[in-house]
Amino acid sequence: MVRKSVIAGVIIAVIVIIIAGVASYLYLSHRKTTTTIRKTTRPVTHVTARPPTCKVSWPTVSVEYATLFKIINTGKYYLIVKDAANHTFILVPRGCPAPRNVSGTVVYVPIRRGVYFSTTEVALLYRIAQALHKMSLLRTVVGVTWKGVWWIPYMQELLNNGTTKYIGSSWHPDIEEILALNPDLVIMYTGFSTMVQIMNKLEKAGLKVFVDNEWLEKSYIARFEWIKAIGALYGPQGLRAAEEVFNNAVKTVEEVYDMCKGLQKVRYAWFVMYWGKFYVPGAESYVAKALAKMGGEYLFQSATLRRTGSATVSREYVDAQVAKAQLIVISGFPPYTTSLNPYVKALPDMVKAPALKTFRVFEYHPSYWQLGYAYTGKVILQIASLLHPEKFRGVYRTFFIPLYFTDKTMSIGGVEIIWRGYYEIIRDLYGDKILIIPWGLTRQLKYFNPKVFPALATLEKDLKTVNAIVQTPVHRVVVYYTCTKYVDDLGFSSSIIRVIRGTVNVGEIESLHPDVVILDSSHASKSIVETLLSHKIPVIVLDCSNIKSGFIISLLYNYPDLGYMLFLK
Amino acid sequence: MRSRHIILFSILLISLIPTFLICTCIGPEYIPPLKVLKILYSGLVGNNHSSTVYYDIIWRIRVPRVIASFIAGAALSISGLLLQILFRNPIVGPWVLGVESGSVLAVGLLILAGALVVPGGVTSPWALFAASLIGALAVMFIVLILAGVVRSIVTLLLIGVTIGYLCSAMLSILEALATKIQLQAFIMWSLGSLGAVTWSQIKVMALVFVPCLVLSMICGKGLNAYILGEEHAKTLGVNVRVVRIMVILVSSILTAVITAFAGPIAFIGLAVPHIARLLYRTADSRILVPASAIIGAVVTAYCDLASRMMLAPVELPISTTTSLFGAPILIMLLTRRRA
Repeated sequence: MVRKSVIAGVIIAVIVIIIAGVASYLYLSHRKTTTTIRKTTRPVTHVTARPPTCKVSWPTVSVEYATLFKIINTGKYYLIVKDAANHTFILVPRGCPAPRNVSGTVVYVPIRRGVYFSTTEVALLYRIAQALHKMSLLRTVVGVTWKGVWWIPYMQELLNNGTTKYIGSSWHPDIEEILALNPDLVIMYTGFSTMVQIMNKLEKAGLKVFVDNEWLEKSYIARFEWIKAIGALYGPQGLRAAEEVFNNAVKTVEEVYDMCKGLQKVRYAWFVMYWGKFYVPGAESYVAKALAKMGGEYLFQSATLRRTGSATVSREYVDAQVAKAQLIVISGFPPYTTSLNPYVKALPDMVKAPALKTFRVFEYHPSYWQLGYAYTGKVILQIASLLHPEKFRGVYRTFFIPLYFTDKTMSIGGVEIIWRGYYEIIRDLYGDKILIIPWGLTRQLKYFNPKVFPALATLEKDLKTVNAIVQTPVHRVVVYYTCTKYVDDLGFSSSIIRVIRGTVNVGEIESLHPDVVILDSSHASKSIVETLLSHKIPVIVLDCSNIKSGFIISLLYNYPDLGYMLFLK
Repeated sequence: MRSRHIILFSILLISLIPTFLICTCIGPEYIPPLKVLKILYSGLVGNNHSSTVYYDIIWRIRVPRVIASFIAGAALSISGLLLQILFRNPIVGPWVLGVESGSVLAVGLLILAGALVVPGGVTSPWALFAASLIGALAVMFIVLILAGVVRSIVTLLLIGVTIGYLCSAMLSILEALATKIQLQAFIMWSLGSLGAVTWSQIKVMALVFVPCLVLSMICGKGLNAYILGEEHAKTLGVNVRVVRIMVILVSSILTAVITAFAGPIAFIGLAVPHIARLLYRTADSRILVPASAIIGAVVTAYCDLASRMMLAPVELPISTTTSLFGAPILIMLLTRRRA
């Protein structure tokens, strides 16, 4: 018995020793790898034997609106940037030596391998790439924390072909994967403890971390000014491009604010409902401040809401306030927010809001969260168009989409409209069914499970039954001359690429690649319409002698509010 | 029942009326109390005021909310009381069997992973209810099976706690995989609120609550025998297994239905049974069950009022106010026990 125990003990001891040996080997070899990576990526300061000289010059750029980063022009070949975590970065153009006696983390620019934690940061880079006509810059994005739908052009492709890697979610990133990518810089956001911990871990792993907290800035334009920080990471050229893009946006924003001066105030409610709870931006948030400059009168103004962040508020408070709203902006987006129905159910007095009667309820397009801040000028312009559609007619609404009831029908000018919440189906005068949906939203079918999101299941079904699909807002329109007046009234004359007078030439229309063809029932033959539809050209046949047809056209531009004002009221 | 108990019951029952009126009259949107009373009256007698904002606020938001807080408070208190008796442990609450964790995990699966396909999709409140109930019932059945197998009540308690940890671990995995929007939505749900409860949901809550209340009253005698331990109960001729299963079933269903509609609500299930004991100075379950229900209803209604009025119109999660109320009680009890 004792002998057996001794033998068992020895066997166990041998196993333990083997396991310990293997574990130690694996640990040490892993440590070695990490150390090697550290050696190659460790921040370099005060390193150079030669006198630091280089003929590169940086543009003199100042930071005027943002408060969380600084650009220090040294007048020399390198630039100093302080990020939101007060890290000092010495941006040295490639080929130039690192400066002596300047403390900070040296980053050679343009960076070639960047890990980006936020899609909004990638969007800023996209704007810079666009300005430089150099989309290859996006290839420097080697790691991202988002694997859902990308609304930034090219990014989906880069992820699909493996140029850009998914490194895990931003709050649970795979640090080993990041290390393996060997990035020049990790661009991330902090602002709450989990992210600070991640930043510390990354730094301990020897990575250079640039903290971009644009989301904590106090105004739209301050948020957007971070484009300069991202631009600087791509060298003097990148910074110059960023400044140009930013200055143009500032100009647009100021022009919009000027145009709104003296206009009638618009009472608006800006909120979202998630699982029965209501979230509103504070009365001093950058959203409320920007809208105040554009003639918006925010309805959620209570003393406890005088703050910059957002807050959860009582249902009855939202209900009482929203009943007065002339404009409602729901800060949700499809496929999470797909209809007015749950809102009206939760807020019984919302139906009394003038906004509902006048088709002035909007929500975000999902692209807003990625691209919106990189297009601040456009966002401000589009918000102005929501507040004052008559004044800002002709502004393309790409970040805001109308929100309707689900499964309600309406007949306007002989055309039947079936509202589906965030899109609609119209049955035109020839009985053809045309699905009108905001741009890109059919893509969501690839990324979301229709069984989980019933609105997508409906969309999937609808797509199979309609004769044509029109994505809004339309930019290229072929229109019968009797219908042009409605497009002109809406301010979108520039979208007309061809006015038809007389016979319709299918070949010619096909070569124009229109988003939609609008024909007058008095002049369009059924066979022509069928031919166009068979060529996958969306056609809508209206009675253009009836002013109400203008409303149908307004749907094509995401302007049901203006359509209502001009053609239905 | 002693005359003292009858008086106390009468007072508590009557207190439901002023509680209801106070909680209905006070809200972030100021409505003169007289007007509230008029609206309440006109609603009761069937006068049509549906066109006014005040009418909608009172009858479609505040009244359902107050009634929901009554039911939620009563249900969680009964659930807590039953479990405290079953486990003969005063610091036991509805979370102890892991039922609440199961509920939270299922909602997590729905919101964070979209893994559960439920009617209405992830954005529907009924989907939340369905998921929560599925999760709670799944855990409950595991516990019920184990309750039939395991002899020691302490082992059962440990199993419940372990299931809770298991659910938390799985939830952490889901959180790691979720997107920012999903995570935000889940956090918001997990904060708990009675603000979204509708009349149709109240009907479901009441339909579940009333039979459970009756069942717990019926179990009163068996529960009293249980107070001195299972062996003692057996000697008194109580079918221990039946009582055990009944208690687990009732407390789990009650917890599940409340978590489903209001999210997790902390401390009520733990603290209220103690208040009932202190007030009635008895361990008789036949008295404590209805007493806990009424006290739970009143306390939860005031906690809910506090959660919506403390920073009005900003709304605090109900667990914040119930914890503010429950934590001192728990500390007091623990210190008293030590003394």
